[in-house]
Amino acid sequence: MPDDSLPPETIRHARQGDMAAFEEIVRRFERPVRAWVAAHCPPGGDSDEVAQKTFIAAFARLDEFEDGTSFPAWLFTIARYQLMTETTRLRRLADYHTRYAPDLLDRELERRAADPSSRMTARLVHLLTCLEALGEPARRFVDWRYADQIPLQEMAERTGRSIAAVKKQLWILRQKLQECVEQKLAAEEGGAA
Amino acid sequence: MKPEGRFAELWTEYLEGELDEAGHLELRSLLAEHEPLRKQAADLYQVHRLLGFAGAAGDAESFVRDTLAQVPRISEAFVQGIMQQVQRRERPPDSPAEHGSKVVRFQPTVRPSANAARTWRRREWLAAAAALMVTAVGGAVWWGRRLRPLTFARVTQDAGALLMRDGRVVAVNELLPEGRLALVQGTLGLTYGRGVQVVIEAPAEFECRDAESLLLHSGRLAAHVPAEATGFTIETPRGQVIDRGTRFALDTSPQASTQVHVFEGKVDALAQDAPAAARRLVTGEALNLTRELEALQLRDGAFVHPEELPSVVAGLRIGQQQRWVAWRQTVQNDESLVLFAELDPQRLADGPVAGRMSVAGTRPVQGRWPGKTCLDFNQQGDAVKLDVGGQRVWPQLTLAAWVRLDRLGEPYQSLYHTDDWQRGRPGQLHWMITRSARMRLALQGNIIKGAAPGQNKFADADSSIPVLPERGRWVHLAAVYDSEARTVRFFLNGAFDNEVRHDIAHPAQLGSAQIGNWNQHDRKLSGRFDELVILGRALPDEELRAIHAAGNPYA
Repeated sequence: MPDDSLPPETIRHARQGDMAAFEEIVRRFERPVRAWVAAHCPPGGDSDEVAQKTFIAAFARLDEFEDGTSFPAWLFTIARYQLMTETTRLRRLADYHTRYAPDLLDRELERRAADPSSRMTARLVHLLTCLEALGEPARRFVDWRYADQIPLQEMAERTGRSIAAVKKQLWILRQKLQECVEQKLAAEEGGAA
Repeated sequence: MKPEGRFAELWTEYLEGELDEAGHLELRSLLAEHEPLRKQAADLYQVHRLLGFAGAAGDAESFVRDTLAQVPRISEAFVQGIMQQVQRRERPPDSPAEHGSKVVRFQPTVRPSANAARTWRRREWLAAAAALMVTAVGGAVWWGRRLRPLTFARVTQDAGALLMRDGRVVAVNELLPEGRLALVQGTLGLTYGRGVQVVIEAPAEFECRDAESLLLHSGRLAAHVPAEATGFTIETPRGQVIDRGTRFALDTSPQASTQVHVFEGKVDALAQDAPAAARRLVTGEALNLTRELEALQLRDGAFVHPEELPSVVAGLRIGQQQRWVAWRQTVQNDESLVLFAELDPQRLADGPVAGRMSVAGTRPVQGRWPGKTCLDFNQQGDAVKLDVGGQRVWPQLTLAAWVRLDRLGEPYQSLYHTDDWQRGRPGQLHWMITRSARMRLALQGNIIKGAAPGQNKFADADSSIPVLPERGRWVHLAAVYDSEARTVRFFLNGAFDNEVRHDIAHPAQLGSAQIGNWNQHDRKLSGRFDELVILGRALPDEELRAIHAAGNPYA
């Protein structure tokens, strides 16, 4: 798991306008914040933009951070606020729900945004581990879709399957990964108890 | 088909962006009717998004860079740091230092992450990071190979300038690259071959076209053109200004259109919308480049002039900005602090005074430091409204502000006006610059020493030195009120000016008030207001000197 600790002097220096110190903060928390926002950002929202706004707002409000309290908790509170703002903005788009989101998914994501932020970091770590465990052909399939962003048509041509079969394969892989993550989370919670 | 099977089809179509309107409706019905499917949808959506996030390998560096580029910078060291990194990265490890090299390469350092996520696709992450480095270096080569540096204009002053071209940071060297440049923060002084001096202040976009002209897309610019360079032309989207031997300035923005101000000599102004109606402007005149060529009041404080810039550059070089940052921290911990307000729209929205102040009109412009925004007041009605302290009274009060004034001699330049003055509430306070350019602190019900009640009841406490010489520069104004000692003491740039004694002196009261305006047509402000601090005690002279010294942008 990522190390959430941050030397108090880093925050102090950033508060005094030391951009190198603030850069250290962005580098330290870039990944968990982006992952958390990505997983909770409603369809159609730009999750990296929300993550950036989180850091920018954090910089502007560093004076308000209370020394001795949890910096990650403070940062994720800002992230929640920024996400809420983005969600509100999206909902105000006249045709948002017909274009992007089943409103019920939207609500479920909003509910989950209240969960501890550490769960999403754990989820990401387990997801990547589960992907490793899939084996080369399946992993390559996921890479094509998510890393290389190859169109379904081309994926179909590369594999000699129909587009429908490619979609089915993606469904299966997403489900497998989801189940794998849930198992690992359950094992982790059981172990902790 | 079972709901689960249909959901699998619809959900895959949805994630692939191929679900049509009918499909959306069907999917919604399924989710509404089957609670487990809602959970599954959210689970799979999060898997999908996290895979997408992880798949965007190697973009951590660009995320960090983009984020930092958006942060309102308050440290000159930031720009210097970037440039030092740029220069370091530019140099191959085994090559000697390349001071004076004009080619800039960005080669982001990819720091190893402690995150266990790197267990996945380590190769891919590294490959993507390498690809990013190649892209960045390639971009820099593109900079060096395709963009010729300008030969007819040089950077001669750099006050924390951050320049970008096509979304990439450009190192501020003596030579600028050709093409459209965005000055994101700071102030830049350029010198053209025949001695033309141009100062451009962020935010601005411009293009040095040739030895005779500059295209200002947006922003504020001041130019000094010697006689031998007569004919130097500034083009803007709204028209052009041709110098006829002068000192002039332009302000082009969506809000202000394009304004031309002539401080000395003459220029010919030609509006895009009225090409046949060129207008010659002479010393002290200003106009808007519209079809009507509408006349304006001259604003000299709205521009940074070539003679001011070296002192700003020197101030940054000796660390004045860092000194101010440290002072800001100190003053916010002062137990007597009543209000510390940076009139930066973002700080007003997110900072310690969030929710306590509202802005009417005004325009965000550069403040005392590169990257720091403040508010520009010019129109009647431009104001910051606030409520400080309610009915509370202060026997002692110190008000201090950093402002940059345009015009003096008008009835009043409003600094801080409480709204209940007209109700005759004793201690209500008005702080302003009078028509004789003196600072005034008036408290409702007070009577200055020697004034017979009823005979001279409107006599107010004024400074003795006019603020006039400080027009067009940042100036620190302060007034210290002590109702117990029955005195008002004035300070101009940290120096004690004058003490006015009172026979009757009520404790000060603030409450609802306005900065830069009041509900009278003759109470407005023309200029920039950067920072206001109010302390509930009478600051001694040495502390006022220290406040000025800590916040002074000049060396």
